[in-house]
Amino acid sequence: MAMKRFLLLLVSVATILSAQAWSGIGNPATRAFAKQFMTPEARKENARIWKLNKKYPAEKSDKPTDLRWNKVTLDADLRSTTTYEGDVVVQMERAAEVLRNRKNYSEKEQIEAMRTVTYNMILLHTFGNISIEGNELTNGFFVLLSSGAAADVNASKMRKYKWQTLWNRAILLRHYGFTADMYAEELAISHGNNKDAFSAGTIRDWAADMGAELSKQLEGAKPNMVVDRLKMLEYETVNDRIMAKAGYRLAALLNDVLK
Amino acid sequence: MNKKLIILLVAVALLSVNKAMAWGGFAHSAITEIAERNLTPEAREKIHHYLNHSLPFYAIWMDQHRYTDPYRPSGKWHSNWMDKNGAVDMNNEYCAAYQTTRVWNELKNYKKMADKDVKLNLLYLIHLVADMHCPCHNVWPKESHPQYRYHLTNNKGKKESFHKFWDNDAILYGRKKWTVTYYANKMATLSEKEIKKICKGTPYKWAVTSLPNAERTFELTPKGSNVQKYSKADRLEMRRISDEEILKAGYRLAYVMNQIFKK
Repeated sequence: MAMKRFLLLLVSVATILSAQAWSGIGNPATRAFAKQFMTPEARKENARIWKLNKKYPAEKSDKPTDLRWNKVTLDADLRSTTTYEGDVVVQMERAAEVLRNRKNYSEKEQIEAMRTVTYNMILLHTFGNISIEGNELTNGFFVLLSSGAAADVNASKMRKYKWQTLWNRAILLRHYGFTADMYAEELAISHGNNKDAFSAGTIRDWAADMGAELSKQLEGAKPNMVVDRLKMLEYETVNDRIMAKAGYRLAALLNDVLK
Repeated sequence: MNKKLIILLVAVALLSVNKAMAWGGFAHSAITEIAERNLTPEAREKIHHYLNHSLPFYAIWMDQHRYTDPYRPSGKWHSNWMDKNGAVDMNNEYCAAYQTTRVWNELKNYKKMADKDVKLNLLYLIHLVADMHCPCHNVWPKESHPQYRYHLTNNKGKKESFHKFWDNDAILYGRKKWTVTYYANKMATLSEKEIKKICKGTPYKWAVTSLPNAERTFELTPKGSNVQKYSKADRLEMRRISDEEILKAGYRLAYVMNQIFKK
């Protein structure tokens, strides 16, 4: 029994560690990219609120302390209509309101709202977190990813990756030695002209857009499908685009609420 | 050993895999970062147009696709091959210096090429210029030199790859926390005169001038030697060799790109 409890604890710890939005580099890269498009006013307020963090040493990370659920739920028409408190979109809307009316909130509430807006914007743009009503594949499945250098290795020898892990980690980790700033520069090169197109709309519009992005990638996808290196190249282009969207939208939202 | 401890150790090892992998390809990223910083505005604009990314983004693309059709033939272009007289073999189509020259010549007519062909050739060039400077990417006839696939060892008696050692470990000695950008900031500080001197010549001549460093690797890290017992002086020399080749590759890659895309 004791061993069972221990194993359960271990699995929980492993799950928490791997339940990041994007891998280590994706989150700071998106934030660094967003900073380039923030107004001086928003940048100043953004810096002020993050600095309040020092007063709450137990909350150093950018992850909201009350994040209990990390799903974006969309209906079958790809609309975000939920009012469930744990939904990423609902949490963001509430946090945005706190930041908009920040004078009425404590420093601790401000920093928590900033974390929620920033972190959840990334969750909103991570395929593994989006659940579409009636689409079984959005509840998670495995793909076969070619390991090592070989693309045509026998399927039985391929590594099994969760769809979520593929998008959250495998694609981003293809660029060894990259820093977040280097990745942010890449996003500026590949999507420098898409600011207006990507940042238009509300949080719920962005959720619907991500639903459309995900649906497109799920067309023809099935459990245990092979993701070879050519497919990875395609996915990488998509991943760049959704990271750029997250960055532009984070800047747009912060520019709006931190006026 | 306690069962729980074994499980814990296995779990920690599994969770560390990604972190450990992140250092692979450091040299390629550093070379392309140095090159990117030394591009002319015209070259940078054109390269970003064709690649939709910077040079570092595609630093190891050729490694990642060396066994993927239709790029499979390029899988054999990563090393400099010597002929039976020990000279860089420019008649060998697998030789990195030969392929660098060929791709460079093709790209001189980039305006007449389809965009996808320009992109593919740029992807090759980004990697080839780097690989032809890698000290352990030189292959001599087995009668005259050790082959680059041999193994070193460590304190536990386990095999360590000679190739991997020179690809990664030699560069990062005493620099565990260095990032690619920090490396470029700290190391790529040569004057214009020094850069001009480095870039003089052709890929063939560049390959030839790198051979003494390549031959030195066999003396510094002989077959079966213990990687944990190299002296500090030797480790510093290994690092110097790596740095020297990385800098030459970075500046030369920028030079080649600048020549291709000059006005």
